Amino acid sequence: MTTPEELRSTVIPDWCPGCGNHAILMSVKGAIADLGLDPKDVVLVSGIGCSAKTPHYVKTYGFHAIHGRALPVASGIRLANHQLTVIAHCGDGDCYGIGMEHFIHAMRRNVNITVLVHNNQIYGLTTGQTSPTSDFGFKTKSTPGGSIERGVMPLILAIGSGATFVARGFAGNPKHLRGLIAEGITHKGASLIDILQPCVTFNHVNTFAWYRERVYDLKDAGHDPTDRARAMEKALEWGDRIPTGVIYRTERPPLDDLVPALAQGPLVKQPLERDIRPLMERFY
Amino acid sequence: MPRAVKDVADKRNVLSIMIGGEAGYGIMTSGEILARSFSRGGLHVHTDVEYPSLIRGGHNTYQVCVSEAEVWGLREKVDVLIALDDLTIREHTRELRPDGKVLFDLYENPIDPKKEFPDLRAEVVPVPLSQIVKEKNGDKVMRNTVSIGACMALIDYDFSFLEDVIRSTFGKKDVEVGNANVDAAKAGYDYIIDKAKCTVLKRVSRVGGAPRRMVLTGNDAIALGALQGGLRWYSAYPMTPASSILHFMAANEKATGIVVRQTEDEIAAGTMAIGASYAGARAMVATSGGGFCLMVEGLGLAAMTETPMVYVLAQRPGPSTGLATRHEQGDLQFALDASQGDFVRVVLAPGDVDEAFHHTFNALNLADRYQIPVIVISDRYLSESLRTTLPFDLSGKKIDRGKLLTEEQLAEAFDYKRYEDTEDGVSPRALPGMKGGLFVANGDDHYETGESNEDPDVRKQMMDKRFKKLKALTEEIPGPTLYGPPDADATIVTWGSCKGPCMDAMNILLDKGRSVNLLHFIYLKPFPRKLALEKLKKARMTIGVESNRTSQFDRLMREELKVSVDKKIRKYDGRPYFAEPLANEIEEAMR
Ligand SMILES: Cc1ncc(C[n+]2csc(CCOP(=O)(O)OP(=O)(O)O)c2C)c(N)n1
Ligand code: SF4
Ligand SMILES: [Mg+2]
Repeated sequence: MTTPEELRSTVIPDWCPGCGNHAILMSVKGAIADLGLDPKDVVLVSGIGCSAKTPHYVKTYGFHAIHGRALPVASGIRLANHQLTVIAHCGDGDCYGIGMEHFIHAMRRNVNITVLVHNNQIYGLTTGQTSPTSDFGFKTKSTPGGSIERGVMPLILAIGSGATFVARGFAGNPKHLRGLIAEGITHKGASLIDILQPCVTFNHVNTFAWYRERVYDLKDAGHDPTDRARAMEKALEWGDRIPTGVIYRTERPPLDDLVPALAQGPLVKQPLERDIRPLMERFY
Repeated sequence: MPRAVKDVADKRNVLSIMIGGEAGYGIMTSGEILARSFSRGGLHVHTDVEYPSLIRGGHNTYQVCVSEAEVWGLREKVDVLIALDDLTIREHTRELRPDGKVLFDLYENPIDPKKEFPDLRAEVVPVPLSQIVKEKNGDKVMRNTVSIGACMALIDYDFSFLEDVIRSTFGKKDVEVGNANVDAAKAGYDYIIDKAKCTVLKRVSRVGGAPRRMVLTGNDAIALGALQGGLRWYSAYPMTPASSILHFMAANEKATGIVVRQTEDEIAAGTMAIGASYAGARAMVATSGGGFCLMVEGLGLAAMTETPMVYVLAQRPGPSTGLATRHEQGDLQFALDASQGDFVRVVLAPGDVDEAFHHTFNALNLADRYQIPVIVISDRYLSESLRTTLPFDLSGKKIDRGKLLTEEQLAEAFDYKRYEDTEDGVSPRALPGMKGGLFVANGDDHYETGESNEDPDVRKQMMDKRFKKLKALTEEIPGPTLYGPPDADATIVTWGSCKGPCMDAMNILLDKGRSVNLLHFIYLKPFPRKLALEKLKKARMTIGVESNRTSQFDRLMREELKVSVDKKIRKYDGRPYFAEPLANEIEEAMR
């Protein structure tokens, strides 16, 4: 049995003290441990951003890729070896900005990966510019007069894209988040967990206190995540009250089950040599 | 019964047939059927298709050059023009040889050819295509089948080969359809034999005892080479002229057990393949210039994470969408250096279908052995034209995964480091799922463990580590091949798919008694400096031939060898080279 402690890598996190990412790290290690996963069978994949450093801090396999491309890399890994648990760590800019097309298609494709979006409503690593999830009027280095665009609503977008597991967590509630991540990993198909992650250095509006005042647990509110119409309502709720927990869940065969080659077991375990002479035969 | 006349065009006796009409008339299928019919009779064939970026209504042509001797590319001149509409005659009068033939349905289109096409010297052979189809209760698209039947009679070629091919083309799914098409073709054939008052253009005859040859495109060969090489993953976004690789892979997904994914764009195609390759699946992607632009950030990721990757870059004219269905070799310099920063890569450009097969196979091995990206350059001409070739030699084709560790080896490894700084720069590779190999593949520069590191000494060490691979790589990269006489007054220097037209041009010139040979490059990066110099030293005069505006290969030569070719021949009109005009240009340059 793996403990969260054993999942700690030798690399010391260099996130700012007090950053919401620390709690996400703790929660993901907790979830992996709770599920009893063997670290050699887990791959954490990331793009670029503060969030993207996560794989270095967990003693599993990892792939620290390029900005916005965590999801295609993760999908490729999973389809090549569907015995692996593949978890993607993305930033809000990473996933809903530069990587938005992959996000929509990963949801529709329903590859069995877990997508954790460290949503701090800002570009952290590049020292504080507006992000696709920044609220209207939000002041940053790139929007000194306040953002004149409204933010995207990732959860409704995910449902609209065909996601089969849509949830929101909060770095200020790691125990709850740990459970959500475990649920997401267990879910068959792509799962999205958008995580409210305060950036204590560059986002002085959406702070721990700001979120804490607004978040509530959908479970307490008696929400039924299988009710799509209600789920869509909840996915649109943003402002004075922000729902957390599983917003929407449904069952649809994951892509891994539909790709013909994978019926014979993981792609990487299949023999490399093949006889192409029958294929050549059609060219005479 | 028409009178038979033995006809000789040039010493190579190439017969050039073109079929043309509106897109949607089945022109391509007919052209392919012709090609296969000739191949089954032991003849050599090279074809090409010309089509605008339209599905219906555009003007399509398919050219088939056939000979008893090896034919490497296209002839400019056309001997037999199968015109399914009058536009075909109008558009191609210029290419028609004065002693050529035009098969045309004058009964359906009662025009006076002399008046309509005053420049036309070739003989118009009227064939009632539509009426024959009507008599056979066939679909209008069967006119092309009638016409190729008629063509076979006109060139006095055995109908049995055509019949065979029609059956295997149409008859597989539906025997009835196969029979109907054979009937239609036979009616066309018989019409010429029984009713037409024309001479026969006899230039090629079946060759008895010839070896069985395949007829396939460069893309087919690339796909087969990759599959022979243990390909497990293919992802792509459709883009001409790479798309037929996607179609081939998808059609054979089940039979071969590979994963084929059409992704949301080329960024995803490339990075998904990188994920699959990191997990251990041999992976390849293919695209054209525009899509390759989108893959380039991922190319750097593959290099930095030392993940094996094969990129097929099937060029077409740029910039931007350029000429979407036309030909050019304009992306060479882009492929050589497309990157963020410096890294080791292989760039290779096969010259024909056989090379496309063998060097794509090799590309997968090189990618694995050196843990680097390999770019296989093709182009519209190589990717889409059919050529006869002997069955691929599969002997000695060994899949080499380089320093990929087994779980047992990993268990014995002490303090495993994925990016260990080894003597040859290649580090032992573990795959996720293996016990004892935990590491992070890192697109940020990193230390031997994979941990991000920005220390100046580490950066330098790891850059040098990755570049150490160049040593062994450069040693194993094949040099250019010399064709023709070992010693000649002039040496044609070319790369990639220009090989075919240059071979034909050289042969035409040799027949004329000119002293010329040909140096062809497949491997371009790392540049085979030593081997190239050895060959070039003997050249008395060099003539560069390539299909782009700025002599991109010559720029490479200047950079690598500090020499330029003496004369440059370039073509960038969106069309491939044709043998006769190229031979003329080379002859001119030799003066
Ligand atoms: C192609 C590309 N464009 C821009 C960048 C620079 N860049 C790095 S991280 C980042 C945004 C980070 O924001 P987010 O994704 O929200 O992650 P965070 O740092 O907030 O966790 C940008 C723009 C890059 N690395 N690559
Ligand atoms: S900049 Fe913000 S997101 Fe990045 S580590 Fe610091 S607090 Fe966290
Ligand atoms: Mg962010």
